[in-house]
Amino acid sequence: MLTRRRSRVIRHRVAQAVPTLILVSLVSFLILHIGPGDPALLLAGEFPTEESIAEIRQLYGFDRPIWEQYLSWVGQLLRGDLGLSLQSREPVMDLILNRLPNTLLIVCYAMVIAFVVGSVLGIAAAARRGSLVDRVATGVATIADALPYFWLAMLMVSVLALDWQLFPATGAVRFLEDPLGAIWTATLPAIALSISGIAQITRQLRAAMIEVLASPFVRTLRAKGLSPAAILWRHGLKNVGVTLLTVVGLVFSGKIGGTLLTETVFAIPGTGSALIQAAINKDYFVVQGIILMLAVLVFLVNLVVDLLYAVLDPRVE
Amino acid sequence: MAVPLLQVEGLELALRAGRSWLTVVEDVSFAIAPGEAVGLVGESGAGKTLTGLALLGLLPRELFRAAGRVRLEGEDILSLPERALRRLRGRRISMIFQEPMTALDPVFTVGEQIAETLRAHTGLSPVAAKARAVEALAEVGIPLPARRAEDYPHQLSGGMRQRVMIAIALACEPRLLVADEPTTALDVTIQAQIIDLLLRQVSARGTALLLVSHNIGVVRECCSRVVAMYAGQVVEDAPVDALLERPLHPYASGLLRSHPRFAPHRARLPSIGGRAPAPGAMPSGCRFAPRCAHRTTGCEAPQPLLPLEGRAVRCHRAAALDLPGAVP
Amino acid sequence: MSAPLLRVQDLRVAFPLRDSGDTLKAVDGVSFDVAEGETLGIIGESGSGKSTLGRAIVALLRPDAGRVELAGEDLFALPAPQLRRRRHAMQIIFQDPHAALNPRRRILDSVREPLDIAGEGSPAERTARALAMLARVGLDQAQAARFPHELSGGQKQRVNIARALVRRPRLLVADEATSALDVSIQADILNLYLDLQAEFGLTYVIITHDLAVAMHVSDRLAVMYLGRFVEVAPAATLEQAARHPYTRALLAAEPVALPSRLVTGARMPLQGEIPSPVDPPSGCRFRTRCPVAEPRCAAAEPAWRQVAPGHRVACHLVEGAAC
Ligand SMILES: Nc1ncnc2c1ncn2[C@@H]1O[C@H](COP(=O)(O)OP(=O)(O)OP(=O)(O)O)[C@@H](O)[C@H]1O
Ligand SMILES: Nc1ncnc2c1ncn2[C@@H]1O[C@H](COP(=O)(O)OP(=O)(O)O)[C@@H](O)[C@H]1O
Ligand code: SF4
Ligand code: SF4
Ligand SMILES: [Mg+2]
Ligand SMILES: [Mg+2]
Repeated sequence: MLTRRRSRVIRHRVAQAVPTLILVSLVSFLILHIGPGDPALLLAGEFPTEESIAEIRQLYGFDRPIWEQYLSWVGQLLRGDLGLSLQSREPVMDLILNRLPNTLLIVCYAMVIAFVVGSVLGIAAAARRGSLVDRVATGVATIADALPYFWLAMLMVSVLALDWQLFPATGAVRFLEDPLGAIWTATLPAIALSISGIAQITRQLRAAMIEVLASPFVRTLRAKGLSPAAILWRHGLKNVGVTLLTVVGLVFSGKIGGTLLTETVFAIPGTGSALIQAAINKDYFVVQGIILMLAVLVFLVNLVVDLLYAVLDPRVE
Repeated sequence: MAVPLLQVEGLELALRAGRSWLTVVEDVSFAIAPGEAVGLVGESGAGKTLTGLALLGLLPRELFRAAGRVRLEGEDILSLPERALRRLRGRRISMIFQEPMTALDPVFTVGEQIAETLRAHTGLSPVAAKARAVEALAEVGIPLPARRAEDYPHQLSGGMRQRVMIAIALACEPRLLVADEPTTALDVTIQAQIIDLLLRQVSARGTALLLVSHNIGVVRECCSRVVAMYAGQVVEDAPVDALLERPLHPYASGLLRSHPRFAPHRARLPSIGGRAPAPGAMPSGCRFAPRCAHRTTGCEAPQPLLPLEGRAVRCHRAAALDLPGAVP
Repeated sequence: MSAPLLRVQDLRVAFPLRDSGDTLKAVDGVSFDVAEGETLGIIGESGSGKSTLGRAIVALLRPDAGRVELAGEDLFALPAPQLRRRRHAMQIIFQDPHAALNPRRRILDSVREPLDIAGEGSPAERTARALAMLARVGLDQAQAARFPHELSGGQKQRVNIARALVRRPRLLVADEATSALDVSIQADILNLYLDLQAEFGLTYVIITHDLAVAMHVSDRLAVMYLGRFVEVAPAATLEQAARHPYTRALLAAEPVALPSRLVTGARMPLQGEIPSPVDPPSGCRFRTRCPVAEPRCAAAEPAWRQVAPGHRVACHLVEGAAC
């Protein structure tokens, strides 16, 4: 599968990733330093005294040049040290690791839903253009885009969870302790989170598939005696693979940001809700740590997408 | 003539234009005997491609309406259901297209694309189909076929891709091959190779050939008979040499004489002048009349395709005119 | 003979390849002259560098080495503003009649545009000149008011010719300008070329892979292979007495539309395909496909030989005066 040229492309992409990673770390680092005011003052709490500020400055090294601070911060980072929460004095790394599984569960779950529903709708709509399926799919995509997210989530909680009691309304179950229960509990938030992704995937895939089905090689396939199903599912699908990958990557990155709202609405102890809490509490190291973690996640998703391009599309240069 | 392999009678193709239908091909009739090679010539827009597609039932039914008869070994293709057509395409009748650049799926290897045809029509296992695909590539003269089978279309030149198209079309030993301008996009030297290959392959298999081309030289090399189309109709159906020596229809003569070879060096060419009428704006009588230098009374009437001197011609003056052909 | 209108000397154009750092030598040492009022045909397979050469001649592309002189003036030695002022004297038309026209502008505006840019005459005069040129190529006022999609391929090619000629160039390069057209339309356009040449005293460089077209319209023909010329001769000479094995192969490859009794001999198609211009064969570039190649063909590049007045060949097997 991997020709020499393609492995070269992959190495190239990975090498290109290094500057992006450095940029991500810089931005996360500067969150604390570029902001208004003296970081030491920010960290000193509600009743700062001259001594406590000086102590903090010394403790965190704010008196040193900024690049030196950055380098030592990166050094700590590489050892897995993101500092301590100002609130709970718990290591930020532990806090993130504790909550990350809940976040990842709903993001991945939402991705699976968006991918399956979006692909089926998009492909079915393209295969039968102008049919009822097409109109329904296009309609769903338009409505899903227009729905206010918050309103939709509340509606789902009140109808599906509170009135009909189909799903638990809020909270989370730890995946490692009770996988089925965890998935069950995550269903509502995942559906809510997946809606805009469904719309995006449906629309993009429909357009891409229509274009593929109109290309001249489809005539060759028909002249060979292939069935419409073989043309659609074998040739059509592989040809829209690149588009599908792009939109899935985009949706995935979007979902990672979307967890902030979802986790808050559904009271899920994940990184998104923790980020909002920490922002309210001015718990700077937690904010910094979570933003860094989310950025790295988005970055990893994009890297995987880039690498898959080289595998999926033989024409990739 | 022996029992024809393919018999086209009064084929009419209409294209949906809003609520009404626009006739683009009308009263097309010709036959092809088993193993025979027939050329289909005419200027662009004459309806050659549409006729070829109709022979395989490839025109989408929601866009095109077909009337008349197309019989392949006695079976009427126009009335076959889609499922039966699928069993026929690629197995009993195949088609190759003009654009070698875009006619192959870019994300499958050429080996896969040949094997796929075999698998659709024969009970070959995936492994056997793949092995057969490599053989097929060797037969169409592709060097290092086992390695080339793993290549994607974009890694091949235009000539190589057209060889692959031929391998796909002939993989299941069809009885008839429709080749739509298979060399138009290629250089003369590559065109010569492809013609050579095509002829060797069809004669080795006894496959009949319908060669669509606007190059009469190519048709002369490949075919014994030629069907000339103008504005959606057959205007002359004749043995190639007879048509080249002495065409009976004024359009066929005009087409031959406008070739630069037949005029003295740097002299004006005897061009036909004007343009073919568009579908929907066809003259009610002879469709060639607005451009015809031999028009007289009687030309306002629709012209039927009539037998004459062992040919078929659509011109009431054909017997009386003595038209120049491709003889210097 | 008077000084030539166009003189090309040892022209080279190479394109750097992004991946490997190699260069693709599209035109690799081409020299020729074209006299005023003459028609030079350039034939060869696709990928031989014809279009690149054509674009360099009209200064649409800067060569890496060599000179292009128009009426004795070295185009690439001119400062940019002066080169711009010479551009109207050399025009090019391309194969795709659709691509060259702005789909959202009316035909008249497209043809008038070169005059507008040059600011020649009053607006009314410009319109009149554009209309006159359109009429000259066979398009009336009603057609001039249309958009490109409302015209046929042949009519669009006429528009392109009108647009190229409206500022009265001295040199016209036509790159496969009739290749996309039907034979009968092609005949009309070729007739138009000949008429316009007689009327305006134009000098033509006709690039085509269609031998019959090239033979018919050209006074002289140059055969190009892999970035080089291999044979140059008057059209009639080339047709009857071509000397280079590649020229002969090209002539033999053309399918002739003659009754079988007039067709002599079986055709021997040339084997293989044109090699990559990134890494051309050593010695004679044609040797990988040449049916009569000898060991020395790999060792040394053949020199140009003059076999008759105006007939030059570059092949080891051809005897003649060195030139
Ligand atoms: N901008 C470019 N960058 C890289 N390579 C180029 C470029 N333009 C042309 N080439 C290459 O230069 C060579 C000659 O190209 P050119 O188009 O001039 O040939 P041609 O003989 O006119 O071919 P055709 O008949 O297909 O148009 C080809 O191998 C082509 O791929
Ligand atoms: N899909 C289509 N939609 C609309 N018009 C078409 C379509 N296909 C062909 N036509 C028209 O039908 C006529 C015949 O076309 P075609 O069979 O492609 O001719 P040829 O092969 O001789 O060039 C032309 O006028 C063309 O414009
Ligand atoms: S019927 Fe009349 S107009 Fe038509 S081709 Fe014959 S002579 Fe010409
Ligand atoms: S120099 Fe040699 S290889 Fe080249 S054309 Fe002449 S004989 Fe052939
Ligand atoms: Mg066609
Ligand atoms: Mg070119």
